[in-house]
Amino acid sequence: MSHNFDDLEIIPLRESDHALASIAYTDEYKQATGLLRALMEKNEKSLRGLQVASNVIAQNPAHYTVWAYRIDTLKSFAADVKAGAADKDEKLAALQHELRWVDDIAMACPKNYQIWPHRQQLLELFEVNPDLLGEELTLDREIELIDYMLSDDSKNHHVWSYRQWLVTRFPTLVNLDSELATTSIMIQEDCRNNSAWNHRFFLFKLKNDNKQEWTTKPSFQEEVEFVANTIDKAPQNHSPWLYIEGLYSHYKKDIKDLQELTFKYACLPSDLGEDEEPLITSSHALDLLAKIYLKEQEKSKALEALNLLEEKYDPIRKGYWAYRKKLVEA
Amino acid sequence: MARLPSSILDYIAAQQNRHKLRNMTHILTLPIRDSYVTETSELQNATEEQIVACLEKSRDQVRSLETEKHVNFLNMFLSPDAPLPDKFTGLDASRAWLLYWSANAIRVLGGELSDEQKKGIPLTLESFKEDGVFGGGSGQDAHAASTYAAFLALADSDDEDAWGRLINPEEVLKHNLKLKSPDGGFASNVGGETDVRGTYCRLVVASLTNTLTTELTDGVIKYIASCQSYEGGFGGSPGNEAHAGYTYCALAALAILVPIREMDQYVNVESCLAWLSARQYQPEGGFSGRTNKLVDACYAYWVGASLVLINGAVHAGPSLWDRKQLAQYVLNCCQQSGGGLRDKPGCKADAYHTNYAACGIAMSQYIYFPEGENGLYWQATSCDGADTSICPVNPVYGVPLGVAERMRLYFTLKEENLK
Ligand SMILES: [Zn+2]
Repeated sequence: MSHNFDDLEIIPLRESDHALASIAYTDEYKQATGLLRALMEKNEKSLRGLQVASNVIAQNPAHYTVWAYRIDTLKSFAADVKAGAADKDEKLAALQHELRWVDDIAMACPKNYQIWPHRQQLLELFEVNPDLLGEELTLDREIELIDYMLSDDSKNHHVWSYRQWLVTRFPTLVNLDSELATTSIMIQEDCRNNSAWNHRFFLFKLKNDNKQEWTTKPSFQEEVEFVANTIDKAPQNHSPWLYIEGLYSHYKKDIKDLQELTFKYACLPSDLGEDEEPLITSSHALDLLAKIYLKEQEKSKALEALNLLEEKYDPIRKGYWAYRKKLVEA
Repeated sequence: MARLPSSILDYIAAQQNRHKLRNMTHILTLPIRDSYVTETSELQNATEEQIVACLEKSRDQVRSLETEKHVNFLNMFLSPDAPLPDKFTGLDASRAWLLYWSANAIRVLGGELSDEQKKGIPLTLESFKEDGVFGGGSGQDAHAASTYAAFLALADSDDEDAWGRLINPEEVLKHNLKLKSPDGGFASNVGGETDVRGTYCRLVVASLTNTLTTELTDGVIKYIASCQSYEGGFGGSPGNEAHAGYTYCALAALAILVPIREMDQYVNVESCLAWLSARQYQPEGGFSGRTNKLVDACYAYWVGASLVLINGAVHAGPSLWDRKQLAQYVLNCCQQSGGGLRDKPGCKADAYHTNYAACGIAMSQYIYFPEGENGLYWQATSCDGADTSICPVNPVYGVPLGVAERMRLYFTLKEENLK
């Protein structure tokens, strides 16, 4: 479908000829943004405006102003449909097509920032106007898109943020257990995917009503076992160590319970016989061990662990370990 | 305001324990490596190999900064009569950023802006004005990030007349209040995202124009604190994964609102420090932006400045990170031969990475001490053997020391004259 723009006078870029950081735009981009400026100046929200917006976005998806114009246009369509405007059928069709259109942009430009707030506003629009969608609002299509995007870039920050927004914004439409299962699978696939660990932490917080008491299933102990099993695959992987310490701190558990776990990957020479060499397979275990010893008031052992980190197992962070030693001695 | 005894101790420690920066390269090896392979470890190992090869190639010397080449590269973005080729169209909404990154990096690297460039900055930004603040280009909506970049570019231009002409503090305040959300965050633009980057950008321009009213700052600390993750770093919004860029925004925003030494009353500084320190990787020497992600030169600033800020609260001394290893990564692996600085070997240099790698080097070449209560004033002392052709940079504002202070003073005096 092509629209007529003969009545519109293109507004060229208004700036000094001597402006800095100017760009030699293609004629096509000049034309599209020139039309956009003309439409915005007239405050016109129309089907042809939507077409211009699509055109600008195709050439430069980071153009946040056109995204704002686009969502305003769609919101006005929603009002027109409700009011029974003459072109309501076409506008309804445009609204119903929008999520699919955004899918394509998302897949073409996975690093783009603007898609996600746009989608958020669309969902909120459909939430208050369920008749516009023609079907009940579910999150199936959102989760499907997100999973698709993450299959390509499993740590995409914007996509994960959007996922968390969805879970928070539509608690009744989200199945927390299936979300949790997704993180289990992703961690199974790559136990170093820290974004998946972060999402898991976020989900448990929700399941526990943001309280500092663990009431959820699986039990705290079962979750600790999941983490311990994952640590065992690659003990030097920082993600599960951060995660388990985070859990213990958030749910006010005693880290002394983790001593056994740390002993699997770190021990101190002073605990061994004369000729035994300590086998240390995780600097993170050593770090946690130092914290546990400090809590038990075994300062010399805490210092011994920190010395090992400083000298042998994490020397690039020498200064930090020296600071930790200072805290122990204080 | 009297300086805290603890920061005097930091200062003395810094003087006694001066770092030798310019030296032979020294490649650390990784003490523990898991054999279990995943996508992340494959990528990490390949990157590590590439970086070690790059470090080994540099004939045992830490390369010096090729300032002239970098300035030439940056001048490309600040030439009034030579537009950038159309492949830069994707940056059409980031032109205020281009001005800041380029002008700022030139100054930080010790270069000078030409008169043409100094005049060109306000001349360009004039047409970006929107609703009392700035958009990313002419005819574009007002945006927190463009406004932040525009203010800093104007500050870098030293053109006080232009400040008075283009910035009206009352309008800035009005706009900031309009975009404030009930949870204490700020939206980047009408209909745009709310995250802690928006908070930082808005607090910076409010601070520069002396418009940090209680109405504006009410609830903001609580919002910032809610973005701290279980890892210790901060995410963009509550619940998000810890990320060094957002961590910097959170800490710098906090430094504007509360005395740095009191940050521990609002956020967990110990876990934040631990997470920040874990961003430095061995053998690469550079910083990464997230747990289990790759090193990247721009984090030399995001992590480096965050460490400077957090050190103002924990007083751990000047050695919180290995400055020499970091310098070695940035200087030997991230200087593009044709000019400009890059993320890592194999990447192309750009204005963004050139600015933040330069600011990151500035974090590592000097030791910084906060003065006063509002994060605006800093003392810097150079490390032994430091390349002092590079300027000390304000770790809260990201411009050479003295630049942000001057703009704040200008608007404070202007306000007093109006009274
Ligand atoms: Zn980068």
